[in-house]
Amino acid sequence: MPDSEGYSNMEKETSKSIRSGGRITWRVLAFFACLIILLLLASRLFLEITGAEAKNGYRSRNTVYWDLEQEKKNSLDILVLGNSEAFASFSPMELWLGGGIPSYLASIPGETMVEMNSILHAALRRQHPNALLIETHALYTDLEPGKADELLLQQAGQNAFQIFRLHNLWKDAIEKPKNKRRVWKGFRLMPTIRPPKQLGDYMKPDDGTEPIDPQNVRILKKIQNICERRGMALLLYSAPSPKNYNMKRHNTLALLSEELGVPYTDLNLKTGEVGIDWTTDSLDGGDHLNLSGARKTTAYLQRVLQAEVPALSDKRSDPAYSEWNGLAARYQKRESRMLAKMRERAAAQGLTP
Amino acid sequence: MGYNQLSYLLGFLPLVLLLFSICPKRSRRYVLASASWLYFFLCSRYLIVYLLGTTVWTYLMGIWIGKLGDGLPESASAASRKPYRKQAMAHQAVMLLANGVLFGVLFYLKYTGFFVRQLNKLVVHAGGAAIIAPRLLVPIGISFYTLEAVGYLLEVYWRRIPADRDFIRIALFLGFFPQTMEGPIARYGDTAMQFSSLSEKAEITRCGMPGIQAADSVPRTLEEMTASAMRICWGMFKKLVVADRLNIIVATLFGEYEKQNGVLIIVAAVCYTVQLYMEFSGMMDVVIGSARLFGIRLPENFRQPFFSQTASEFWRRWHISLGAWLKDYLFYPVAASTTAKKLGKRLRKMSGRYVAKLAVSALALTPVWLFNGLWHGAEWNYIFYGIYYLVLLVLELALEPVKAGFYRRTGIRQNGRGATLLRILRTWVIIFTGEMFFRAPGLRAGFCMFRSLFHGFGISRLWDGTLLTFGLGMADWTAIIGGTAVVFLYDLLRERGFCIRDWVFARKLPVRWALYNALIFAVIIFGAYGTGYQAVDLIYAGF
Repeated sequence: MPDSEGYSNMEKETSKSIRSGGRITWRVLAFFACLIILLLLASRLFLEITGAEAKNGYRSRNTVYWDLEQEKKNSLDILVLGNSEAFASFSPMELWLGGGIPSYLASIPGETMVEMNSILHAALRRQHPNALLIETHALYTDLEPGKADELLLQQAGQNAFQIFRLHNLWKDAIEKPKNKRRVWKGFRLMPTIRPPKQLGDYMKPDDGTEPIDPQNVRILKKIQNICERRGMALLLYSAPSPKNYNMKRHNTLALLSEELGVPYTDLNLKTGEVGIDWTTDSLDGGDHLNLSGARKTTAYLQRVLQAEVPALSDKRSDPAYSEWNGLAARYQKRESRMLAKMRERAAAQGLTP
Repeated sequence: MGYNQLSYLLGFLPLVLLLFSICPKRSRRYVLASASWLYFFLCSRYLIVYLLGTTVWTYLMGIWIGKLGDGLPESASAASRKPYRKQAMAHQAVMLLANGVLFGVLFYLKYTGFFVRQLNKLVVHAGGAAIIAPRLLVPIGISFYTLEAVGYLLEVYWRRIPADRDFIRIALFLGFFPQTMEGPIARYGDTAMQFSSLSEKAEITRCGMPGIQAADSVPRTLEEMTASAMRICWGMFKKLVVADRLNIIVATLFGEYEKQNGVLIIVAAVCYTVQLYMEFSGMMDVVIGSARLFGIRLPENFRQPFFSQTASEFWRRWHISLGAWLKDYLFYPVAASTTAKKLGKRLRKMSGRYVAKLAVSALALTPVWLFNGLWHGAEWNYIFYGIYYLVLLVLELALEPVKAGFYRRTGIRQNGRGATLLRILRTWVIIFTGEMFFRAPGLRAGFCMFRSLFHGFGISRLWDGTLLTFGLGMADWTAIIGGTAVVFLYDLLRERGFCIRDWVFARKLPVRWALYNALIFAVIIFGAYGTGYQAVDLIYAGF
């Protein structure tokens, strides 16, 4: 049995070890707190550099995250997501000019459903749109089997700390970025005309289906849940593209939209109604639409949106959106120039509607 | 879930560490065993049955071999005498059966396809119908844990250690998750006892292993934990900043080897060697760092191999655990076998000491290097890789007197700076050539590349922008050269005996934190991941 001095020594030892254990815990916590602060600061810095580059016209696939931060809080009614098929078929400024609906096209080339989910999360931090419009081609970009969860986790981490997404920016200090582009709420004016050589079996009747990667369907269902929770309408559409769509894909997507209870518009079946002319509206041989085609599809999608989302209203006379009117005027000017050029080129190539 | 993936580094590892730290000491090894099996299941799904089967087999056969060995005299000649003959034969037969089954499973899963392909070539040549090779899935790490199991059973057979009756300890020795995928190939004495010291000290004596001293496990102090975490970061630096970037040019140059010649072949060989070193040693840093977080000290696998002056020294510094395994369980038994001894005796009488030594060494080295080559994979270029080093090592031995005579006659100091540097450069040439054959898509491709080396050398392609046409831009090359220089400097300091860890821990807290953060940010910012890069699978996990 220890005597009273022994007890007192034991107590001292115990309290010393508790104190040292506590110190270690605090030290570890302090280190990680510092690291998190540094990561946040670095993320901010890298995002600002991305923005500075974007202002000079240099854009990468990550610039969309900076772009979304620049939009006025809760100013967007429609958010459009998808891969290059989306950014070749939807012009937000066209939608504004036609119906006064503020929208944003947050699409990147080769966008996967994982990236789509990530962009949506980034957008919803500052926006509360009435509807989400998804171009469906991303559903046919397969993910590595079994990787969806890990990729989603990675994207969530990148949304929290943008430095993980933008870290390659240091390379721009050594290699100047090559592509200089101007975008209009995510849309790029693409005036090239290259009609498809032949339409082949494009949308010829077929009862078959073409399966979609189940991981992509799972992510789409997640997105649908988010929309339901936030009271947003979800709409799917397929942009006209002889290279990427056929009846089998249409059947699969129609079945999927039915299963989800989501409106689906396949513009590949409505090229006549939309007014698509493959001799003048294709950018690259039937893969994407050019400016002329995008104008027509946007006009059609405007009607779909107005029918499906009753909450949409014309905001052209709303003083809070005066900037949009200014931008739209500049857009119109540039668009007219481009369209004139396109007509000249089409005539020169003998491409008449 | 490779060791380089976020799901391991930020998910699995921290979760297991947390669980390990909060649970009572006596349950910790159960946590580690469960985590190890879970990890294996996540990587290989139902193929976990092979690991579990190997564990149970090794455990039971170890006990059986141990039992049969009880009472046998120490020397082999005494054991072969009458009263012990039967027992000794049974003892040997069980050992052969145990190891035969282990190697049989490895051979069946890994080499069946290769041998059926070779057989088919002969059959088709003779006008017969080809056999369809079975498509077999190989569980991760089978080449590593099989060698560990065989090593353990041989140790028990030689009665260097008693058979272990603690199933969890055997399970952890064979399947401890940080080393499942890429090794190091630990020997029983290296790690097994540490899994007991995770619990109570008393348990070591309770499990009846008085002959074995527990290897020093790592105290789980803040300093140790910090050093382990930083070692993981250092490993990720090597992998992400250098190795994964180099993979882009390596894949292109080796993928289109017919189009390359001259200096580009050298670039391919050098880039692959650097990639392999950065990746394998980097992953070893992650593996050893991960294990140390749990207080487990794994053997080192690399010791600055590019400072080697000979091919044999290189193999004592590169993939050390494989070299040590081959030395202990293949080289020594063959060299000490009756055949080798008889051959040595006869040759000594006929041709003298030099020839006898050379012949016995060659005899013992032959299975070592054939096994080494074949262990890496069932392809001819791996077998050639083994033979390449076999020839070099025998030549090294054969030329020893010539070399000594050369230094004596010329008066050049063998240990002088210039001679040392030249020997290091010569070893580099040997290493790069070997790795070129190792990485080439087949032996024919390897020889094609070797021939192309001497055509259209075109050294100007190193600076005329050609190197920027293989998927790596100027920024990528800057990161590769910078990253390699940092790693080289680190290795140089270690080679000179400077302990960077001690130096860092002697700094004040703010300096230490700044250094840790600098390393973390270097990995995050300069790492080759995200847009424009593809995740690269672990090279050695494929072996």
